[in-house]
Amino acid sequence: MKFLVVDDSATMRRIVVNSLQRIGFTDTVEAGDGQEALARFDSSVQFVITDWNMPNMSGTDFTRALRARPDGANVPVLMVTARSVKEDILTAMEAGVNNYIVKPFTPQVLKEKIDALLPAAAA
Amino acid sequence: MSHLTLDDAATLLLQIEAGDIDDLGRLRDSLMTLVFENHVPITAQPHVARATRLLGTLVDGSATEPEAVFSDISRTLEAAVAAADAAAMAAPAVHAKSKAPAKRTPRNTPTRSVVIDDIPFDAAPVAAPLSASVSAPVAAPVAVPVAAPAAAPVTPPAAAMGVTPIMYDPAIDELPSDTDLDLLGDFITESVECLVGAEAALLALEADPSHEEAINTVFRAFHTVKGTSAFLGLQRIAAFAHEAESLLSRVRDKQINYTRACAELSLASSDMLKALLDAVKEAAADTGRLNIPGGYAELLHALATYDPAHEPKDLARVLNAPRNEENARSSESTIRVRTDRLDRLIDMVGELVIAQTMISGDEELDRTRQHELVRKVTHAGKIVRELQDLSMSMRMIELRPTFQKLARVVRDTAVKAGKEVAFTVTGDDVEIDRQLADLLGDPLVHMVRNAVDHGVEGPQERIAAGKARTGSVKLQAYHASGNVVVELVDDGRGLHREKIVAKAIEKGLIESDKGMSDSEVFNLIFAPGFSTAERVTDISGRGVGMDVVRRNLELIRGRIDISSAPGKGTTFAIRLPLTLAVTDGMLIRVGEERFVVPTTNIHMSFRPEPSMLSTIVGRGEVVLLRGELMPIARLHDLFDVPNAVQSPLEGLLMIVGDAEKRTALLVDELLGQQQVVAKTLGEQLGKVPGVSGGAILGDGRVGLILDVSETVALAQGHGTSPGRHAMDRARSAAAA
Repeated sequence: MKFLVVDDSATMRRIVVNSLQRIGFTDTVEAGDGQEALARFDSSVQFVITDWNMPNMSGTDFTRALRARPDGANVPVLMVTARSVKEDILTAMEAGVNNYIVKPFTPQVLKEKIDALLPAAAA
Repeated sequence: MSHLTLDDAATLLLQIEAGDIDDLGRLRDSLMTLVFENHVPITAQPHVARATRLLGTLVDGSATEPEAVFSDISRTLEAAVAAADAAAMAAPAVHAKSKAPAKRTPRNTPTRSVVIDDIPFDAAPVAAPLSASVSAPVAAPVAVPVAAPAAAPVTPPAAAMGVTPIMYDPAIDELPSDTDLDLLGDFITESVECLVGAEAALLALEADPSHEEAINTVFRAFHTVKGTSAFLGLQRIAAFAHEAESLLSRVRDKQINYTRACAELSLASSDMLKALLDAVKEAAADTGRLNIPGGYAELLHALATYDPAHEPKDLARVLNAPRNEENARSSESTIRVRTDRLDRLIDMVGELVIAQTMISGDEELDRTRQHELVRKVTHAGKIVRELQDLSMSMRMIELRPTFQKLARVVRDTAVKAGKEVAFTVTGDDVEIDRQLADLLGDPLVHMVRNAVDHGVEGPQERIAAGKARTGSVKLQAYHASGNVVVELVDDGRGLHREKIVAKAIEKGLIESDKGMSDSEVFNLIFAPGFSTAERVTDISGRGVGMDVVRRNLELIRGRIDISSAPGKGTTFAIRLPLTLAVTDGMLIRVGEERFVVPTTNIHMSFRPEPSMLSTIVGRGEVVLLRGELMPIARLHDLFDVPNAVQSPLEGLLMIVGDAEKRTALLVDELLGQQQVVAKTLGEQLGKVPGVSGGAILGDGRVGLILDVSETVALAQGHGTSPGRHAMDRARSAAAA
């Protein structure tokens, strides 16, 4: 399964990619902001993990644009964030984000979040 | 086990009154669970999220037009149901598939339903019509929201979602034992970059406190540092960045204004984070024990308790807590290739260029009739030159980070000196060799401090002089004939000729200013031990400084010129080569010897008229050019070259020399300008006075690169001229 990891911090991208490897997902592409992510995304990407606050194009704007694309309407989007107020998260979900994970997280928590989203993606 | 489906929710809504807060709240909680546990198809989720949020505004009373919001919710839920139905149609096989991993039954229940037995849903009156009106194509389990104990506390959503608040333990002062050093290195590099950007944004914010992009940049910097440091287990940094971020988010959300105190705190926070990063770097290289910078606890407390209504009285004390000034000296580090490797690459390319020059300059090649060979050599030469350009460009970085640090210096100096200064920068996108940028940093800091502390007048003095209250300090960089020029322009009081002369006489630097041009007088400020500050401040007037500035600039083959008008201001112009690895040189001939003179050092060349030449007792041969008297230095004498032109009237005079004393070098002729790859002469040889290196010329012979300031010093009788022997050794060392 191919993951697209979007974060303006290269260190964070590396942390996410390392975590994914630890739980058995080795196929990843990376992008440094929303615009780059839109360019990198194609139908081979099966899961998107994105940061929220990024320069140029934020995680929510990126997801909204992704959802408007035929190939991006059904891909699960998990948002990495430091916010845990659910009203905040709802605004991200309105943009098309499916779930969120609070920094810092362990690879195990990441795995749970991914697993929880896969049945929804199959629908 | 009972389930609420999307269809159920839509139907339920029809039966709830817009004003029935309790029922709306319960519906909101159910939808919350539905959406957060991902029991809705992806295409339906945004609608459900929207409906949930809107329900929230009805529940907490923040909706201004409840009726309109209510019908909006209802339309949104309908859209959600439609999207879910479409998804179900598009993937009819889904249910069997999603049931397959049976171990997690509740989560994998068919689309659009959610287990709600843990959600108290006291909606008995609507239960009956609900089950009748369910018409979903899915055989959804009928929701039976009955008999939940009415008094049961509503499960807090956060707890239901397993959200844990972020906890920091500021007592941990050691790097985690499993630290990935590689990752840590990336983290530090990136964080420093973020903070340098944040600092520039903070200064922009001070000029325009409503600059939203600047606020976001700073917020993001603190946010990124917080997020990554938390992952790396760096609790001290995460805790601090968290508070700094919180302050900025209050500014961003317009809860507080960006006041002076707020600015001071933010800048201090940026400094503290840099100091912490340095501490991490040290800890990683050493014992793993974090040496927490002084003032950490105080600043953390000041951030956490910041209240614009009660600005902390002891803020100044907190901000002045001992901090390591070195921390402010972060440098551009976007080059992620290890620089020693890069340098090695550039060296190798330099060697290649020389080897290629020797091939293409070989006399055999001139004589050969093998045109194909000549063509191939030319082609290879072209590629080598492109490779050289490319390798040079790899070292080039923008001046922006160097200049950004100065904005901070201006600000801090102005605050301390009680000046009001507007600092503007242009041309910070001009690129320069990384090594030069590093070496340029310190002299610029010193010059900028001087400009603010001594150049610009205080507000009262400015007003009295009929000037704008706020002084201006401009830093501008641009390209000029293959060099980079960095100009520092202030509109302050200008250099005071009489004051400088008096000081120079007092210090014994000169006996009188008779015959000295303004420019010569101004250049006295670069003399060692010179300082005209009327009072010694802790900012700049320590009497050391400008001489160090000039020496540092000379080390990087830079030249500095001053122009100044009393009452109008002063301009310092620094002229630098683009890079140290390649020298733009003028090839000159003296007898049979050829030298390369860096073009940055050359003011002009001319053949003198007899009337311009004279000999003055005590000063020797001189030439008078436009009122300026300059000593003549005979290169053939200094370097013991036979068969050279003896009379300046038959040769050329080349005016060289930095600031203090210009000198006319006697040369036979100019052979043309060219780029040469500078080679140092090797350690074992030691230093040859007056020569900075060698370069292989087109014909494979070695031309020595003149070190102009040393040559001038030699001409003035300082040091011993190298004999023929030393020159020969230098040549063979350069060719080796």
